[in-house]
Amino acid sequence: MSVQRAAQLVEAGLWLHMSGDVDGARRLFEQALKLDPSNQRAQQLLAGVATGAGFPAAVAPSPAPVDWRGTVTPVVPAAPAAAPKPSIALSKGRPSVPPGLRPRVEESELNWRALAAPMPGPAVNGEPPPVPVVRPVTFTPDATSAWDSQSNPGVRLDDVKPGLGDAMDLVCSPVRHEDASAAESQRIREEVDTLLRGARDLLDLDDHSGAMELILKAQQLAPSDPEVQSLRERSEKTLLAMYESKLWPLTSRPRVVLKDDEIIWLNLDHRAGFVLAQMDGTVTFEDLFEVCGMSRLDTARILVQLIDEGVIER
Amino acid sequence: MPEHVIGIDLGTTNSVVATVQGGQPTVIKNRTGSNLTPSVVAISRSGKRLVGQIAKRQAITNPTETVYASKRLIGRKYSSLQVQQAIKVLPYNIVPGEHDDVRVRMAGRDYALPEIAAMVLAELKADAEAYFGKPVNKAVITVPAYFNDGQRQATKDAGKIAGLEVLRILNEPTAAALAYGFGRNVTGKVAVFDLGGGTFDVTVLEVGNDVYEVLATGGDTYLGGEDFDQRIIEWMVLNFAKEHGIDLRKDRMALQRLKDAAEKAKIELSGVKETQINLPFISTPPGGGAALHLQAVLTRQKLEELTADLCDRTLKICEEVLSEAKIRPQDLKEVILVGGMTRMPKVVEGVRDYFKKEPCKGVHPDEVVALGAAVQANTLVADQGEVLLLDVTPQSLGVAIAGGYSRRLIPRNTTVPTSVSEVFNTSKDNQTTVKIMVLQGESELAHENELLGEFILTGLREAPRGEVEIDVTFEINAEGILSVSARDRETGQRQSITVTASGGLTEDELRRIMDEQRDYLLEARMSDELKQKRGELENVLREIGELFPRVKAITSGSEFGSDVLVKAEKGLADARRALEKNDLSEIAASADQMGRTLNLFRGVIQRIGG
Repeated sequence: MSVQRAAQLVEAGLWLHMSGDVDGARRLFEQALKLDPSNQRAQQLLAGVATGAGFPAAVAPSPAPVDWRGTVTPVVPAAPAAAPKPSIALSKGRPSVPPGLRPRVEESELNWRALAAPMPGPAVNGEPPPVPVVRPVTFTPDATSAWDSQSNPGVRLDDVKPGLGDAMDLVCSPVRHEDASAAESQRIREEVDTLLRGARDLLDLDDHSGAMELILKAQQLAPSDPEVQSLRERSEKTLLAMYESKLWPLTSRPRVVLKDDEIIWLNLDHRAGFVLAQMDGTVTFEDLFEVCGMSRLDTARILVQLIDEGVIER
Repeated sequence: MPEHVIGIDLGTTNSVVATVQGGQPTVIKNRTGSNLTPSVVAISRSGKRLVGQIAKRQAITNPTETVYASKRLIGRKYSSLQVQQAIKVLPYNIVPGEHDDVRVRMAGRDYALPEIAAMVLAELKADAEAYFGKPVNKAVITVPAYFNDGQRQATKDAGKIAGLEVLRILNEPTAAALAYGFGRNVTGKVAVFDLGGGTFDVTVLEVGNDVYEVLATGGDTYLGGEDFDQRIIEWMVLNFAKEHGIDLRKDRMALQRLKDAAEKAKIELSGVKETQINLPFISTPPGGGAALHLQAVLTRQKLEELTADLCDRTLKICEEVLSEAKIRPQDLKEVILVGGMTRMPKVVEGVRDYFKKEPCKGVHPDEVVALGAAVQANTLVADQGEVLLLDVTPQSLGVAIAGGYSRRLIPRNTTVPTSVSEVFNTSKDNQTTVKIMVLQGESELAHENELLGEFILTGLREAPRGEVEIDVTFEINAEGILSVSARDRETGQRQSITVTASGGLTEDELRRIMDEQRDYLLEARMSDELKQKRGELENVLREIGELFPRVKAITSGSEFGSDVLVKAEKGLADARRALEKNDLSEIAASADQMGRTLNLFRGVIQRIGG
């Protein structure tokens, strides 16, 4: 049991590491090793975290990583050199997503990734770096070509029309679909359970922000799960109280300490930039919660980040 | 000591409160230290009512729950052209009231326009009370010269809701002239050029021997500083899109920052030739990556280029108003600049060129109206030789006639009191009754004017059309109350109506809103106190929590120690319960008790703990 639990903790730790919470990940790997000292994966990962050397490829997390803020790290499928064309396709357009599941990769994200120019490598012997060939992402099977009479002269829509219902049943029986979706649901349930266990462990270790990241990932996978929701509400409340205690008293008026030309070198996003722009020495923390147009938790998190990084002071 | 009275300039974009102290009119700063309070009201995500600067700051990120420029709607009918036009451009939800009045829906509740204005007035009242340290109950409030009776009444209602006795509704240009003429002898025709945040008005006054008579007024309710800001925003957006391929208008946070920066840059360019616009981390590129900065230099010349047509529009309106009043620019003794936008050098230059004289400086253009209102308020309560303010009819008055047209009896800009009579005839054969519909407005078409009231004159002699003659008389007294009468010349039969201005609210509604406002203020005060006491108690609990282990260690084994610690623990538990219940009296009592415990702990550590 403890071996299985340790494996789950390693999995959750990997998620956390990919979200940038190295401390949270370290804690989970340590916890995993306490339960299963022989877990080689946990040992390797812990060593990787300690040295900052990163992880060996073999220990990368198995499922596609999901960013907790709502965007999904894209998985760019490699186009097979010669993908066999099916003799028949289910429908035109994108492959369907099983019911109850969100698409794992946003279309716009994929397009952006596919179109983004690759960064050229360093110059070698004064020669310009070789420009890598970018292969466009193509999805197969291609529904249009499947019905294309030229590429599939043997299959014509008109020919199969009278028996279309039967033909479709043959390739897409409801039973098979249910099987597939049940298997997918089961996989997701297991993933959610793993994430929730990791979150609870982190909560026990007082790492609320790390726990929150795992909870949000779990919520992306199971948006209406009551257990996830209640854990999220509880964690949000605790996190907010923690952040607010760092901002206390909320009636104080924060001021920006850094100069404009120093600020631009920071690593902030546009939301932090917006919060920062609201501080003119007259607004209080309480005012900022009202004017920033974000949730109280998000605003508080950004404010604490700005204080921790020495950008603002109370 | 006389009671404190205030003058309020209730503006479309900003409002100002002033008073007269030691014989000098003075602006009262708001509680954030600024002279101007944005006329913006909002309900935040958390359901909190926001007024002024804080409401303005979130106007773009919370557009549907933020009300600005409500002055354009106050006292108007929902079905009026102006309101229908406003609905198209304002992002908040405007809905019809029960009597064709205008309501604004915020956070699921419908607010009458006087209620919205009252929120701003209440804020200004509170600022004045903070300044004087005692309650303020009386005020003079200014309105544009073109405001009709309904709009003036609605502004009065707003004052009432805010807990103010409105001593007088004063025309803005009159107030400006009063402030400008304060302490000096100004006589002759004076033009007031008022380019504010959202509207432009130009008014010509005849000033002499403490008499201020409005000769003509006109303007554009959709021309002001915000249009200048918009041009700067468009310029910034275009340049950023060229450089990064990102349209910043699609991001509300970015747009809010652009608006703030545009206004700041515009103000700076009135004093300097160029200004730096720095908006770090304005946008994160799609798909992630480092956030982008917007850095630009805007010159005064560029700003003038971007807004040249807006400046020209103001001068065109001046031309129209002066020509209608048959006044030449050279007939004017002075030109007074009002509104923050008149600080822009290009605007001053345009005024100078058109009026052929240097416009008056010396009074802050943002504050001059409020200062004038304060002067008038002070005069009214101090009973210092009444200054006679002659008002004019802001809009034409007339009756509906056959064919759906309007017959104007009293043209706009007529000085009140006034009385006009005209003879009308029946339009049908054997017509025994005639309906008199009293209209206000400038349109030739009856339905495009505002219907102020109607009555029927009966008992007319049966005769072919055009034979029966009816005298119609319009009379406006010094209080601005309009009486209309119709008399059958042959029989002497008479019927009349008195039109009392309505701000859109019935007496009952007004009373209910006033009660609600009182309850709200009471609740807000309680909530502020609760927040303060909670904060106090939480601070004390935190400190006690930190000291507890040390006190425990120091006093361990002693009877005193165990007694104190047991009591403290009980107190802590009670305090946590009080915080959970969120009850003001319990929290206050707990804060007192735990404050004493904290003092005791500190004493123990100081004396015994070293």
